[in-house]
Amino acid sequence: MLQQHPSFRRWAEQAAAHIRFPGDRPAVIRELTEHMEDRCDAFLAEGLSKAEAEKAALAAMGDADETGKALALIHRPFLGYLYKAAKIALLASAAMLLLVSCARGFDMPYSYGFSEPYSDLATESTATHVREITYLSPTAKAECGGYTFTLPSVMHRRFYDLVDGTSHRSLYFVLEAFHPSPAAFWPEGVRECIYAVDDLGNLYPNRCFSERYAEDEGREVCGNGTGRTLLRYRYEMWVSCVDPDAQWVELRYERLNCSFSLRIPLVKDGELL
Amino acid sequence: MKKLFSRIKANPPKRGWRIAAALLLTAVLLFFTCTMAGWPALSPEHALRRAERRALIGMEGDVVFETGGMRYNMNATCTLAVRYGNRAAALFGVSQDGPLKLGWDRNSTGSAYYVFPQDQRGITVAAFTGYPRYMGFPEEAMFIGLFHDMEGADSAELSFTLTGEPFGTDFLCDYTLSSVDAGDGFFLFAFSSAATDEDFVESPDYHPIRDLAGRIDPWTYSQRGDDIAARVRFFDAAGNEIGGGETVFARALLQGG
Amino acid sequence: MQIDKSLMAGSTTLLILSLLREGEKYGYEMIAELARRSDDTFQLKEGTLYPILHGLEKEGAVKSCRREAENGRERKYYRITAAGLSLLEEKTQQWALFTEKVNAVIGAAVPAGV
Repeated sequence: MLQQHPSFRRWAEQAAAHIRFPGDRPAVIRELTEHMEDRCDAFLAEGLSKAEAEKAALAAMGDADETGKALALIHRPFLGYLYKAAKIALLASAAMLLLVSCARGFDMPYSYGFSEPYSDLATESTATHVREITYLSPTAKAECGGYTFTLPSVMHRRFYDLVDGTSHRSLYFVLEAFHPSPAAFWPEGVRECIYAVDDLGNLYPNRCFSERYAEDEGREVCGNGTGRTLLRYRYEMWVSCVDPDAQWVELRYERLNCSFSLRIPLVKDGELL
Repeated sequence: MKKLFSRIKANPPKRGWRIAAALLLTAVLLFFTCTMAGWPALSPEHALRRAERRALIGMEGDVVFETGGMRYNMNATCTLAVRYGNRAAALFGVSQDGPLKLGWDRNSTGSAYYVFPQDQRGITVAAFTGYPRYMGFPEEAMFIGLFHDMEGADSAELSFTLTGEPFGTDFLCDYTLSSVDAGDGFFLFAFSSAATDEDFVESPDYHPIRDLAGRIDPWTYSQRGDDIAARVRFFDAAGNEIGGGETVFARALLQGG
Repeated sequence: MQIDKSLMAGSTTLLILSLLREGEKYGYEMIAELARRSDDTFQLKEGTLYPILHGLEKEGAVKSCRREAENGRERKYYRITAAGLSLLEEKTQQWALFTEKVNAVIGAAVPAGV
């Protein structure tokens, strides 16, 4: 129907041209054109010829520019431009994400999620050895440098070799660090500098990267980062050669202005583990 | 009215809601972009604060010197000399090597940030290796920083001796370096080899730089050997010697301080 | 009889809102209904109608939606909202007050001496 009367559309477009934001114009043009159609139909019903009805409808509309100026006062362009700006921002950020992902190779910069470590080990006793496993949940918590440290799981292990009569006691633990900002990243200082002491005064130094640790399986604290979520980081660490009579082991960290300690009690129900 | 059953065509959501939705989606996409880019730091100092936090140092150091305009692997690079009161000092190098070179970061899962303790006379020798390369030193160079409290010192000289293992049983060599730049209580030295990149591995300077680097890094060097002594001399603007002393060469602080 | 345009100017909103009070209408329907009720005295120009309608929609006095009309075509219908109804009431009261005071000043409806 609109194609039948291009002059109507032209009048509407002339009026709508006054509206500053182009996205607002089509709806207004449509409404005005439809109105003129109705006007024209009314004249046709009165008995005028097609050409006369068309002319009369156009005349009835009045001045296109005057109407246009009045409409322009109502249809302010601000929201229109804002919407366009928002759309451009959206497309730009999508393009940015694509570019950065390509530059990085589409992998996530870190592996996400935690896995359960050593949770299926159990106490067992064979002809050659005895292994006692106990799981602990210490409530120790410490804060340092914006990170909050906890010990979500600790495994205590005593190993008796029946063949050569040696015994070994060690602690395996998961150290979790929490930071409220996703940009914080791994608290590497922990892995490098955390050490341990026990109630008997023994020192378990940090020997993570030293090649000595393989040869001399002595007292030490060591471990690796194993996984992270957006705000949490986990290290799987161990304290080896724990003194057989120690009642607790305390993890310690001191460096410049930051220091904390996390105590792991090794006594359960009054009995030494 | 007869219009009860006429077909209704719903309006599209109002423009205000559409703008809000577009902005929200933009924010979400930007968040993921930042995550994919590894949340790069916005400036070298921002990267330093982050390194301090990751190293769990617990305090903010003062930047006493900053190089600029350096390039390493075509990336803009910067070295900061940082002082932690009168307890310790450090050298921090960072370059713009993230995806699309967006931010300052050492990238990947964080290389260690080493801090060096100050000795009783207020002199600290700190060092780090290889990168970033200092302007005017196109070959392999080790950055050495000297933090001091000597007033009126215009330049300084640093000398040390490398002997024996692991450089070789008969190895003995004295090195004397002059300061190449200065900041507030800070002198910068560069220990570099005269050899070009291709011959570097063959040159007699290769081992000292590489092994000295190993000694500074407490974790990558299995047999640290004894600490190396460093002798420092300070000169005023006229060239007269005004003081000096002896201290340990770049022994990283791991605990305490 | 033609009415002086200046008298019309202030009351167009009132007329449009009262037309819409009786049900939703589209643009031409309003003009036709207005002409019919006033015996063709009020010939509202399209140049006046649409700016007012769009202005009212922006204020929240009317709401629009596209709908199929009786003749099978699609038209943009306007209906009055609660805010529009209260605006209509306000304008009606103003108009009643206005006419009352004008009549009070003029005096009797028929001039003396005719």
